[in-house]
Amino acid sequence: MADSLFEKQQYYAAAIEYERLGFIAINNNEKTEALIKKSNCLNLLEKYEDAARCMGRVNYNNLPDTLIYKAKYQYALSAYLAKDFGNAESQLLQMQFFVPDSTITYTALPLFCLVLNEQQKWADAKIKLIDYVRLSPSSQATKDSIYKEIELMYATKAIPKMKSLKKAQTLSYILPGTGQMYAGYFWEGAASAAIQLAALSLTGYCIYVHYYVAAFVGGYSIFSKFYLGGINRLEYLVGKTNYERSRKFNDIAKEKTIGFQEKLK
Amino acid sequence: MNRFAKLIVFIAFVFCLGKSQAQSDISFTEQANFTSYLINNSEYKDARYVLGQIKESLISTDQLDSLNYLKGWSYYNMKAVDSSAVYLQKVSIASSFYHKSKFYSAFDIAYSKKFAEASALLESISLVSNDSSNSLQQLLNYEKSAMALLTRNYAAFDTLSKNFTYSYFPISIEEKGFVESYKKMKSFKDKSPLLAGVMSALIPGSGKWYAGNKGQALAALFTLSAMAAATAESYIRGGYKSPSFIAFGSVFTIFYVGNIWGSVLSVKIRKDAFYKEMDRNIMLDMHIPLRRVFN
Repeated sequence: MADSLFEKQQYYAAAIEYERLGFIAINNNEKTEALIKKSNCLNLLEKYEDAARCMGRVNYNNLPDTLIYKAKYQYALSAYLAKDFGNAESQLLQMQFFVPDSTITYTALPLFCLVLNEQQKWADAKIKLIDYVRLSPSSQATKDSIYKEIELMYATKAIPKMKSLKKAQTLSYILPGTGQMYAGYFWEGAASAAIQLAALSLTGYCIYVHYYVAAFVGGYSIFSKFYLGGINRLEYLVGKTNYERSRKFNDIAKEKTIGFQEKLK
Repeated sequence: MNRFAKLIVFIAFVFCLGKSQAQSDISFTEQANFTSYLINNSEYKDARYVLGQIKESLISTDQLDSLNYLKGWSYYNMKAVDSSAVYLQKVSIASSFYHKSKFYSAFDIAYSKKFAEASALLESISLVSNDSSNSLQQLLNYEKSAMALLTRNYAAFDTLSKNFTYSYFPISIEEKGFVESYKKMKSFKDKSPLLAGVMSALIPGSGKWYAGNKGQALAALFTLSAMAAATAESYIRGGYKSPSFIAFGSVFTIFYVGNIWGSVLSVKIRKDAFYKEMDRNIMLDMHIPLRRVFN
């Protein structure tokens, strides 16, 4: 019944029936298979967190290697789709620990690569992808062409250059506005620098005409607000720039990785 | 059709009806067990889905009680307290889930801030006089005392707290907590918003100090003093027509009036924050014993 509902694309009803199969299952293998299928249905419904939580219920005691692989893969995939990359990596590491036979687990390496990409561990991701190609039962010529593409994809120049928050803050401490410029927001940095310069000029002018309190209240307080505010905002700006850069790289890498899998089939 | 044929048809009908009823019984039991399994595995949405498939017209009164309990319990775990209360209240006294359902529905309603309705529900709970109900009697007294605190009915709390034994494990610690909360709430002194406003008008920030916000008071005093000094300086140097005096004077006036209004409000905010914190603690203490007694 569950399978027929799945074929009719009634995924939620199918998920419930797979759960029921798990409930009435007479052994842990059957129950695990049912939970994997339920998690798959939930992924198709884009309920990724529920799918990952479902896989968290699997009992791995006395399961055969192939089933441990399937369950851990499904768990890692659901966690990856739910953007819980730390958990996805943890599941893949556990898979490699519990199932040492790489002829079973190598097909999980592209997912491992994508998970590491999302965590900006690009050097490790490259190694996983090369391992995947090496272990694939494909012709050497196909493998060689993919190796070249991987080298190009992960070349030093292609890897996104991440902005350093500390460096941006240091720049803004020394010369206001330059931290924003370094983070990729030139005009925002220029505007901030101009306002702070104007506030300092006002302070200087007030002191020149002997308006000492006004210099402090009017000029200096505006300057300090923009000076410290600009530095505090750098955390957001640097984070945004780094996210956009890594997102751009990871999206391309994801498409290429899927392409490699197709070629190696 | 002769009488004999009619009798055969009637017997066949009764047989089929009985069989269909028996099938629906098995089906309901299976569904109920499956739902309990889902709830135990924190799959509450799935449990709700399965329960939604059961047709109420095909099940017995006992089964309907179980169905309402399971629906209410699923909603409770999904933190949908309003829906939970609706179903839990439908559980009849004949059900083994009656007491749990009533206590939890009262909590659900109290959580929705409908204190009068929750109190009435607690009053309506029927207990039988035996040993186990003595424990439930203590729990009921305890929950009623919680409602008395939430409605600030201190006279009722005085009466109910006389029945506290401090020896019934699930509520012994919380009973002491209620007495502490009661003392704190009774000794809490309301402050005058008018006095706070007047104080801030005389010495900026002093109204906030009076309301208990000492950090805000010092910040207001420092800011307004600096603005006042800048305004005075502009007046001395440029006179009342000077642009700097008009600018600083305007800003100072806005901040000065804003600080007075802020002081008035801070008294109310302080009072609201105090009672909100107390209510949160009372609700928590009302909830924990229910988990201990019924789980």
